[in-house]
Amino acid sequence: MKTLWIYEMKKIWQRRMVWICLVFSIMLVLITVGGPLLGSYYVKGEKLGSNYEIFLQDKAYQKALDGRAIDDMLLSEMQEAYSNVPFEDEKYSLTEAYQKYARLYSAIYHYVRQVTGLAGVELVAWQGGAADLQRMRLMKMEKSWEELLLSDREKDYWRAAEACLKEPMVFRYAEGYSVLFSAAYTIGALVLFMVAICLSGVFPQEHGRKTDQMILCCKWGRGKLYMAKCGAGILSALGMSASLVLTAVIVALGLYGTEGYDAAFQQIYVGNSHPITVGEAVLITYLMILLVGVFMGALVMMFSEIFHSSMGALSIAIGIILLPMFFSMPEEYRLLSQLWSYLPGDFVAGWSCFSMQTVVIAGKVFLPWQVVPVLYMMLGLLFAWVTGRRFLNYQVRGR
Amino acid sequence: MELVIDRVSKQYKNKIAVDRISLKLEKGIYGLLGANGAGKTTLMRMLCGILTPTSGTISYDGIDVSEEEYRAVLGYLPQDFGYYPDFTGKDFLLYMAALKGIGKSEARKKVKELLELVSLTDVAKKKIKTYSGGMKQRLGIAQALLNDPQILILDEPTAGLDPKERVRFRNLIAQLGKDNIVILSTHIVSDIDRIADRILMMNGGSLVFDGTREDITGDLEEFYLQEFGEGEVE
Amino acid sequence: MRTLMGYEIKKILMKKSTLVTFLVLLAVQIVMAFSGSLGSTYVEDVFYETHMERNRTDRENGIALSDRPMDDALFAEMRDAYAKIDRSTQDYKWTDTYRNEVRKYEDVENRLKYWGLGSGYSLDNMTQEALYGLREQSRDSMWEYYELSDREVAYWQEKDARVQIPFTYEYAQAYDSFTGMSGCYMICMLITFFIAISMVTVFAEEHTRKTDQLILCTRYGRTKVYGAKLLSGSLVVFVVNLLFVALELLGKFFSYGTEGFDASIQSVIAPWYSYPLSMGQALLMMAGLLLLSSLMVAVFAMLLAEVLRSSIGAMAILIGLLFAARLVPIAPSLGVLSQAWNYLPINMLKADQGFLDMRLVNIFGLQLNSWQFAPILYLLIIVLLVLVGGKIYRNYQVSGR
Repeated sequence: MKTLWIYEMKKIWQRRMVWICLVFSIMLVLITVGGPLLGSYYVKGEKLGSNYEIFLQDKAYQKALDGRAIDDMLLSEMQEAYSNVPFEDEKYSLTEAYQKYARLYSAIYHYVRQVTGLAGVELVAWQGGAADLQRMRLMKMEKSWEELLLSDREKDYWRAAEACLKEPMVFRYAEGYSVLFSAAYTIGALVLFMVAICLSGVFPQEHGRKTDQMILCCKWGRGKLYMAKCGAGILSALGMSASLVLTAVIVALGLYGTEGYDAAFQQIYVGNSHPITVGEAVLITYLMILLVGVFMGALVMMFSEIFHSSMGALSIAIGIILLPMFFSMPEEYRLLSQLWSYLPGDFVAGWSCFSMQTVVIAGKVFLPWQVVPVLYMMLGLLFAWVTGRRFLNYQVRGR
Repeated sequence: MELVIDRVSKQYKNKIAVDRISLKLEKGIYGLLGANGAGKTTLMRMLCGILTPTSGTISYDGIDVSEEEYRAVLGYLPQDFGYYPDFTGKDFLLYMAALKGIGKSEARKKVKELLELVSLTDVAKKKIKTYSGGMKQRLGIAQALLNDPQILILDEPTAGLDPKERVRFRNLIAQLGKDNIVILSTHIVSDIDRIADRILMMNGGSLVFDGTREDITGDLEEFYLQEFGEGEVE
Repeated sequence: MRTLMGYEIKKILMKKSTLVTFLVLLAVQIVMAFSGSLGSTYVEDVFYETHMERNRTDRENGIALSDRPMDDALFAEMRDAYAKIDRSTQDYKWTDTYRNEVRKYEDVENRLKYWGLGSGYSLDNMTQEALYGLREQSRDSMWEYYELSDREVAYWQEKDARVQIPFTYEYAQAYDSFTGMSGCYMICMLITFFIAISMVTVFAEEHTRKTDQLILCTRYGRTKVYGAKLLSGSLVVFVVNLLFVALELLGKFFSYGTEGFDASIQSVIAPWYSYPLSMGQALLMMAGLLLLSSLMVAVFAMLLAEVLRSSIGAMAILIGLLFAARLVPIAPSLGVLSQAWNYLPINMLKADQGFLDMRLVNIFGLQLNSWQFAPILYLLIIVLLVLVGGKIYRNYQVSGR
């Protein structure tokens, strides 16, 4: 069995296409994660500095605030700093006043802006404090739960989760995790494409090359070979997914730093109630990407054996990947929109992984990142069974 | 009618597949024999213009192999050829006729004749994917004859045919060989024995024998085995 | 040639994957085209109106307000109207006052919001001077964003002088929708996907099926067949594309009406844009670019598969490019690379990206903007691909099997 499995792995990894896809995908991961640091920042035709220099400055400012609670004192400091900014000038962010006074507090400003919906002079003039900020945030969450058509049980769950959040929130420099969280959608999509393209031929190539007639009449040509093919396919999918995930993580944390693992998730995703840290969120998201990659491998292998064609399987797989990227299900259709968010092409995105639409079973609330792995495993087993049936009962005829 | 093959070679990196072969072929049947890997298929592909020689020239009555006029008089049946599974036999032949520049009405007439000749009339409207191996081979033969070729190149044409069909095919080739150049490559020595006007043997890319049947005393198969150092057959 | 083309088209259409893909995409296109008329609006979970009713009302209101200059008089009228309702909750939507006196200004208000009412301005303090001042600022910002040369700035200044200020309000929802993400851009996506499935086998399958040796040794095998394949593939893509565009236009006009052809692009989607272009002109140009670019992509797909001798390889590259174009932004600071990236069809057909890219191309002293240069570029690429592809095809050697 081990020998069979090794040969199946060889068949997959010997293909030029697999290596081209891998290299191309890794390049895209590098561009996605590191790209924002390339190039220069220009204003009025004048080079202000490289994007990397701008980032370093912002990093220094954020680290200066690292560990501080977003309390009344920090809020007033921020407002005082921003009171110097000439907002009537559209390019206020380039003025000396902004650069000298306000830029240091820009991370806090942006957080408050997201919570309150205020900006510019209105934000500076806002009289509220940390407690008001928390209250406004909760109101936004309540509104969001209404729009998401959450049940009362779910709302209670999220209210309890909100109560667990540390208030006032402590600001942390967590750019590495923030970049990883934003990049998850792109990286997840790359994983899906790569797995679909590279594994679509695992079964059909035997039919295309007419080696099936020789293989299927061998002692182990049906049962053990099928297991070897599945095993090689799944492991390859895992390997491909892990390559891209590791590349992203290493590059992002290498460039932006590893600090901020225990920053509150709400710092990067204001409108979410999950009581987890940024680091935990990134860990979960990327584990989900690995899972989705393996799931896609099983899916594409199943279709390829059903159609005996890699093209047919690939078209369906790509359709499944692309569909949720370009079309969304209106939220008023709660169940449909929730199921839609579980499609591989959508689930790789952080907003689907941490959606507040849960699954309530026997009074217990389960989160999407808890439900989907189970769902995918069950479907994966179903796919394996279907593929197995097709392969084990295949009849060589018609040629 | 003269096919001139002048010092034709084909080299791939370290391997010489065909080594400076020169021949002048006129009307008749030329049997091409040789072991696997001798260079027969490579030579045939060069004669068909689907593979360019590394050196040397191939021309027919002064027309180079790369020209359209050459291909207009050529018919080729490859050893392992493909088809379109969802085309019917008739569709396939009509398609090949279009490729060969045969007008529609003439094509229809010709296709009908050829389907009858290769005994595929009954299944002409069925999809090729339903054909047996022998039926596909006969379809291949039919497409090679569509344009009444003056040069007919057949690579293992009787593979997959039953003995009766093989005899019919041999008779057909014998007939065609009277007015055209037919180059026939096969491992079935008896096919060549009966109909070939000239026998060509290849080994390691080179032509090792070029002669008529009369130049060979005794059994052709034994002669072949002796030429390739295999000794007598038990 | 016609006979050969007939067979090539038959080969394309006979494939199950082509047919299934076409049908699925057709269904998607039909839903997208008519999506504006589907569904209903709810106000605080209570049914308010169907989208068809909404569209009809908006259209009537829009037509009644069309040809009005967007000036102080209109803003004053809007202020008076909005002052009659309380927008702190959604209840105002049920009032007759809203329905009869306020709702008709919503389209105008939405446009003003898009142009920058959030930058410290609200309807209460909006003036004609402020609005068009904001417009000028955002226009100048775009020139800086694109890092335009002095010559380019001079070009746009000359064009900008012909943009009518103040803008005239015109109801143009159908055109807005067609030129937006759910219109032309979406069709481009669907067509690219169709091409990736159906065109990559046109040349490649002859090699995988081993019919290449039969074809290449025939009279027309190296000459007419090449042309027949390219033309057949292009024709299939053209027809499908035309069908999708026609469905899109039908859907949009059915949902929103045909009014708005003459609406200025500045007054609807791009106030900062400096060329005096109407929405109708933009629609026609985008539709034309869509048809031409899809031909280019089809030729590219077919020949890529021929070069790679692999349909899967070509499909992977096409989908990869589509994906990269959507998710990988290339900032203007990266110069020519960024400009070239915007000429990818999927980016060119995004109104806020390629189509309205303000960088010019200088050809023999003639300055061309993106939607002027794009068709020339696409045609040149098609010619180049056909020539290079022809050479590759004619020189193909059947060997190694």
